[in-house]
Amino acid sequence: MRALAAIALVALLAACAPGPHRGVPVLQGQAGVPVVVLMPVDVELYEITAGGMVEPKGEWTDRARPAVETALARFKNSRGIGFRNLGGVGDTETRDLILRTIRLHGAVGQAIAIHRFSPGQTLPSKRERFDWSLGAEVAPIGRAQRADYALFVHLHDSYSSGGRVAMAVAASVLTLGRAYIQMGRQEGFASLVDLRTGEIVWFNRLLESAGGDLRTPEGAGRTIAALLQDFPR
Amino acid sequence: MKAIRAAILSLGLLAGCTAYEAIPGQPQAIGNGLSVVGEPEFNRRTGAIGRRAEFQQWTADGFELNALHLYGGIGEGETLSPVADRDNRRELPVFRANSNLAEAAEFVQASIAKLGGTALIEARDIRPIAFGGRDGFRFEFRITLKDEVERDGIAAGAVASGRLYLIFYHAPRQHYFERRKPAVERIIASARL
Amino acid sequence: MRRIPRRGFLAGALAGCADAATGAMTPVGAGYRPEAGSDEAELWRALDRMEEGTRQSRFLLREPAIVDYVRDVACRLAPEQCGDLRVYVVRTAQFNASMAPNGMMQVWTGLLLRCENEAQLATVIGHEIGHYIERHSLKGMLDRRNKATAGMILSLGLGAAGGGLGSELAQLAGYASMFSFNRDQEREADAVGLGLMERAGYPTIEAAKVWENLIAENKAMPQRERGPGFFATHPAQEERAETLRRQAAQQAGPADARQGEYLARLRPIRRLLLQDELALRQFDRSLIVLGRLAEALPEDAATQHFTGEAYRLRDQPGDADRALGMLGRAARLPDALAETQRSLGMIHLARRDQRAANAAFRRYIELAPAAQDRLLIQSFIREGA
Ligand SMILES: [Zn+2]
Repeated sequence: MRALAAIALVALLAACAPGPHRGVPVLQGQAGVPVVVLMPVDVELYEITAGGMVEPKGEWTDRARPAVETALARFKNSRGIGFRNLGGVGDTETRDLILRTIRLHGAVGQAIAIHRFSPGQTLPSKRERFDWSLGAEVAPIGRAQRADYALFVHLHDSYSSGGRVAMAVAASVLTLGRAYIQMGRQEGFASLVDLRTGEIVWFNRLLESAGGDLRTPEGAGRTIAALLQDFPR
Repeated sequence: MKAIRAAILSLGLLAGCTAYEAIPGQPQAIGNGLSVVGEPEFNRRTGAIGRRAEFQQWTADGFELNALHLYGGIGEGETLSPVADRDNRRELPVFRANSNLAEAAEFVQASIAKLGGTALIEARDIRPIAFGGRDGFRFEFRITLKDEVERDGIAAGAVASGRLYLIFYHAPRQHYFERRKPAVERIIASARL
Repeated sequence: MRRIPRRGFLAGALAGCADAATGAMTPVGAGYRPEAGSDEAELWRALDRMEEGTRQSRFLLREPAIVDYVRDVACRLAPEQCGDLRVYVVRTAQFNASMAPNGMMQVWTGLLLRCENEAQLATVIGHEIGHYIERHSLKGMLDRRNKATAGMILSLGLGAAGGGLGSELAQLAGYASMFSFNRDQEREADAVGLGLMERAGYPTIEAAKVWENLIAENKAMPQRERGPGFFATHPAQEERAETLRRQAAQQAGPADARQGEYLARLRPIRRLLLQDELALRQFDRSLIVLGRLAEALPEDAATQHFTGEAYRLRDQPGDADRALGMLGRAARLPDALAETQRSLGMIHLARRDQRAANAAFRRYIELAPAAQDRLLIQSFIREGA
């Protein structure tokens, strides 16, 4: 039953889906080779029931994070870009900023995933333009990490049971206009952010059909490969 | 069974009922009682949300990033949520037609807190303004929802003939609030009752 | 020795754990750490990551005096575990507390508001320490039926792993639900808690009162409004209250519930607690909580004020009169809140008593010249009326 529903959704989402956004063909480094800092990966797997309880979705979460990290490390090594993990974050202010920005990225990525990638959800004001950003406020991260860009990866696997839908719609009045997109699907996206301006220069989201089982190294590898396809050089 | 219902519902929302249309820079009717001048950087969500035609939602970058809610009249016994009016009004503040401006502002703030499911909301600078040519109120607020993103907001409205005409806006503090604030201020200033 | 099918990491992990301990698990002693590289250590690591998220949450109440006080109560109850537990006070107006196997204890502000004295707070903390000492959550995970639940702990930990990525506290409800213990474990936790209370010199009869109070509160609410919270994970309160009352009768020796101390320590945040409570808009239930508080603190202006507010906002027939009475009394107390005058003004205004409204609003602005709504309230003062 559940699989059927998922297939219906995938079919719908796959139709006329555009490719990744690529705002710059070539990355620019301040000191030659562009340096990309990898932000902590946001991985989460859960189910939300009608009562608002978070409940386990079977036994498939155990290996997700290490598998995703291994896959990312492999991807890093295959590129001629100066990739590095987030280094020691000095002062509290920068730490807060990083935390705030990761949280904001979750919201921004959801908005992009819907309004650029979901059929019928395009915003007319953005038809010709991709101007989502995390704000020039991110500049201190670049300075602290001596990096030109930051890569944010967000992978949430969730399933909401029926009762929650009504609640989600009720909540939509406030913000979460689209809590419903969290239903029964893998929500994955990645953004490359220019740390000088905050602009998102590259973005991709995961098509459900492309995502692998995050528990296995192969599945995580396939997921990361699908997510980071067409990543700029 | 549940899963199928969920899928049907979501398909309805994704494909059928909800879409977005451009907002030309001309007067836009919000129900019968309110009109504002449109801002092309915003988009209107179309399709019925609940059953109240006099309720519109506009966004510039997506609802997580800036959301403008326009009410062309909330009447006696109604709440801020058109969906809640239909099937789930529990614990949501109910509007009273005889509310004064302070009570109306109180109603709006309490409703936002309740809808947001958060204790972390603070209203600032609550003041009387002219709204649509009537005596109205305005306040700013800061709210943290469960996604832990800190948002700032503005609410403005007036009570006329027992109905509350209301516009409220909220967006993450980082980047998005300021980015669309000038357009929002223009929209509020353009309100006509 | 039980055979558990090894499906996935966790099942394997837990099976291994059971093998190592041959099914019998010793209670947690002071300074307990799981063996490095063990599966329990894996679990702790996931919880540690989740804790990182908790630490960074905007919903944490950070007033050191309050957090220290809650920790002191925990340490008074269980000095052996004191060094191993970390206390977080979460700003959520529901009654709940939890203690994760790695020593992370969360206490919700709704619990602080509802306790009448230190002994009642000690009841809930002692009970949670009971689950911790007896390693109930780990035992539960060994149960095959709960394997998926264990998976969730890991996933929650993973969610927080990125350095506090947003939704950890949103999942608190679920976090609480993952520790849904069986009846025997609940009894065991109650017994441990009661023992700790007695040893620390608290009257154990307060344990029964905690549940009796909650039962009364719950009865005041319509069925459909009884949301998630402690009751979701702790059913059958009535039976439990009875059992606790019976057990308390056996206590010998002097005991002190430390009511004065408790109420004084909570004083700096009482307004905040009451404000958050009212924001839930479950006025029937809040009035029961407020009534209890008013009994203990008949002269407390905040309690009187928010009782008046509960009536004013509930707005059922007769409520305006009740609100006027309560607020009038609150206004005469020595530490009256400025907002009491504001509320009084609102009621006078609704009754078209402009002169009384003017007086109240003027007093409000006099008492709170920096009030955020000063300009709006000022606009209600009309002369010549
Ligand atoms: Zn328990």
